[in-house]
Amino acid sequence: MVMEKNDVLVKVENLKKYFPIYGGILQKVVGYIYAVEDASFYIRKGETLGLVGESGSGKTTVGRILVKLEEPTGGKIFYNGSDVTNIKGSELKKYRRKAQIIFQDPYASLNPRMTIKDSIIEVMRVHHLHKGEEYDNALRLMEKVGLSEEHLYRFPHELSGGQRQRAVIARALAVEPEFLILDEPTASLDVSVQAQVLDLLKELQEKYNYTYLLITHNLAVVRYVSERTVIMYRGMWVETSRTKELFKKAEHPYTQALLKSVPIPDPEVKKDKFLISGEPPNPTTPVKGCPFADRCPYVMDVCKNEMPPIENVGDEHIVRCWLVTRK
Amino acid sequence: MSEKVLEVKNLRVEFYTYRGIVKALNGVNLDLNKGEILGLAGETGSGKSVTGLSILRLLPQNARVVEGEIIFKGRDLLKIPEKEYNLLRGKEINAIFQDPHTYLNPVFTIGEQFRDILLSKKDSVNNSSKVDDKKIEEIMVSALKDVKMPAVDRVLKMYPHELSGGMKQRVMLAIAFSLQPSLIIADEPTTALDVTIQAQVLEIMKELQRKYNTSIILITHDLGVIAETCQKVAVMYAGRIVEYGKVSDVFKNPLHPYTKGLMEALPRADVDVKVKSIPGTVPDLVSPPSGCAFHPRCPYAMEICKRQAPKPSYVKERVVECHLYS
Amino acid sequence: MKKVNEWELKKKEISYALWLFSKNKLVVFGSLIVVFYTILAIIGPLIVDPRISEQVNLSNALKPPSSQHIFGTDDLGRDILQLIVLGARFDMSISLVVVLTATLIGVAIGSISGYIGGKIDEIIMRFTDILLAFPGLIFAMGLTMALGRSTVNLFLALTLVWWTGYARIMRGQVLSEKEKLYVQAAKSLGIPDFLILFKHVFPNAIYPILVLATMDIGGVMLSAAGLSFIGLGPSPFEPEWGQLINRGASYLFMAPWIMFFPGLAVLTASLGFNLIGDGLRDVLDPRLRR
Repeated sequence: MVMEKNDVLVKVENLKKYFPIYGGILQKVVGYIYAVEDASFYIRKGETLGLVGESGSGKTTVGRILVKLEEPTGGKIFYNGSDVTNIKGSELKKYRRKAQIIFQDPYASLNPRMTIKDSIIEVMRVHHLHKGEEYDNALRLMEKVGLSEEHLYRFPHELSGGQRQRAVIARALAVEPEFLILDEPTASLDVSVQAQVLDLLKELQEKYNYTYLLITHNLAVVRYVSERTVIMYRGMWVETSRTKELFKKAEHPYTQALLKSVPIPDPEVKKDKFLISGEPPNPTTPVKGCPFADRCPYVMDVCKNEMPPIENVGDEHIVRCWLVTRK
Repeated sequence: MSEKVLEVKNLRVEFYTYRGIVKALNGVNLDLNKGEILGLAGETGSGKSVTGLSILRLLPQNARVVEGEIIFKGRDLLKIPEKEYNLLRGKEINAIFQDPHTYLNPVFTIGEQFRDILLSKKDSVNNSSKVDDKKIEEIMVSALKDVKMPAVDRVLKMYPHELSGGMKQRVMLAIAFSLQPSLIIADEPTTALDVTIQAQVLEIMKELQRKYNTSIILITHDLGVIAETCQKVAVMYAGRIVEYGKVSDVFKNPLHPYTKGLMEALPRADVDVKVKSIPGTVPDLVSPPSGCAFHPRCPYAMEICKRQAPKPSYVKERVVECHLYS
Repeated sequence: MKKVNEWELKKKEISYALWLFSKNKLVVFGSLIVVFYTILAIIGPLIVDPRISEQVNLSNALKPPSSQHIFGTDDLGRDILQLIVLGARFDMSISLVVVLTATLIGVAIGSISGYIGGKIDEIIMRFTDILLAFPGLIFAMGLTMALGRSTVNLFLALTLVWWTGYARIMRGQVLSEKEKLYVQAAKSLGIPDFLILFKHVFPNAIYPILVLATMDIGGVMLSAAGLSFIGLGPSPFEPEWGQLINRGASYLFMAPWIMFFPGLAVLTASLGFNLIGDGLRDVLDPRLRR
């Protein structure tokens, strides 16, 4: 099936993930961690969606669910129109070739005792790709990410941070995916190297039409790379919009607080202090009403008791906030 | 009137590792005035943390201070005996680190640890060797109120694991400022915190600094944090300070090619920018490049850059180490 | 497209490891000791006639060290030096065999338990706990007494006691490796579970076991000597070091050399293995941390 550039590739509906907490001698379930309460978004083919949140937002868990390292407690995932929420076996293996994840720590995601070559070729063998010319393909992948042949023979600890991240990307590309989940891809890299990796990712997307889900708390990176952005708080999405519009006209108080909290490397930019008090939540109790109610400076009674409805406030811009609904 | 609180002169520090001698600091010079916040900016291997550790005399076993002086209130910190330096620790010079787990003992409550720290400085607490419990309690409560800690009495009875990351850093700030030191070294104090919490903690730090007129050296790789908090900035690369000046000047008009490169490599949350990366990687400090350590990555590199290390040049109030300006 | 020579690289790695190994003087010393005793174990019965262990010559008994008998003679008139040389084979082989077998069993059970997890893990671990609850040597004593004294039973008793420790450690290692990011990454790349266990988890989890096992060789030797000492080892005529120590105990004040020299042999041999284990740990660890 030929896909139009504007077709939706990934769709996530009301995703939920609760982690059971075991306690007592008999290891019974004594509670849950409500990591994800409601994650809903869609990503078009060739597009980058930024998934933004702080600790407790559930963004990393969403990423892990999308590559099936976790099973969702509720909700649905659609890939290319088909329901992939509960696939197993050979279906799962096929999906694994489509969706790949790049973790935050490139050092930890590579086997310390395997050379890059072995790591990449293993992936090819497992999926029976390029039989007989695995090495040549590995070379091609290295080239794609800007590394050279000698890097194939190195161990992870013999590479620099930026090189490692590229090696991880090369390995992910070995399965020939369409959809890449990038979990804080530049968080552990130096500033001067971050830009290299970001540019590489952008370049790859332009050439090969990859679809990206960029999970991060770094708003500057989101602005630079993603076309659309979802803001998550305490396991729920609170605002989704085209990135440009989000940064100009954020509607949700949490988004506004986030934007105002980012330190700007320009001493002449005067920021009005919009400091919110309190801490990001520890999600051991289920959400009642709006998840941001206990920290919101504009909180009203209704916010504490009822979940705000979804409001459409612009071109592909939706928010969940009583303040907006009441306007 | 600005009196100098700290003067670092030609500091050279080397580390002995199995791979060879790592030249971590290659001649660092900086001044800190009273009540000033100086940002020490750099990436991995720049030497910014080593500089802070040298001032605190907390370098690891395999480090050697090869040359240099650190003058604090008339005394060279590198030459005074350990006992004498210990009198300064906590009272005159204090530190804040990135990871609260490195300084908060998990088996003691916040109150117990704070009391222990104050007790060890009892001479400065009560101006006598006798222990005054009431005074200590007062100091602890006042310090925690300073950092806007809610429910101070309860927090004192809590264990570190019961507090969130942001609250632990606030405790750290409280302890650091409790005896009103003249100098605080803050090494990546907010790097591990969420964005909204970082903003809170930085704001508290700035308030406390204003209140007690403390001089702070803020070590971080986050240029945004430096722009919002510091008056002066020193940019470090491969163990040397390559540019030093007022934050407003350096950020608006960076002179050193590395500083320029850093500014251009930053994506921004407030405006749309074209990001340009600096080619290459940070140099190996066991065998650094000849001449100017930045020359392999510098778009303006000239012949002389490969042969000779540049000496500091003075451009108005700025200090730059680059052959373009000498 | 120039292919980098893999063999060259492998050789470089091994020589680097050996070089690291050799830098530690104690480790080199330990290796020399072990090599010495290994050679002794192999050629022992060739340079000393094994039949002397059964030759009783009472007129020659309890003679102190002299030019004729460098370590003196025991109560049966046998030359102690010769007995030690003969005994090397027994002690070295039993400790190596016990450790090898215990390691194999323990690692296999521990890995499976740790990787599969869940109920099976619980059952296996409870079983291991029960075995571990018995004080090792007493358990070994009990077994040997029940089965009768012989070399094979000594070997069985020691192995049955020792495997549980490895199982526990291996399980813990596998459990922690399972959660590591590179394993998660491998899973997300579609690599099947059994491959992950063998190619990824196993090589990374096995390192503490290797170090421990090397050091345990010395420990087993001491235990075997101990069991022999209380009379649970092989036949009384067997030139086993523990056996000799046993005999020597009765003559401690009259002829201390009977106990002393075999004791020295046990000590130095186990020390040698311990030092190697130490060195192994240093060689294997920093390379990973680098």
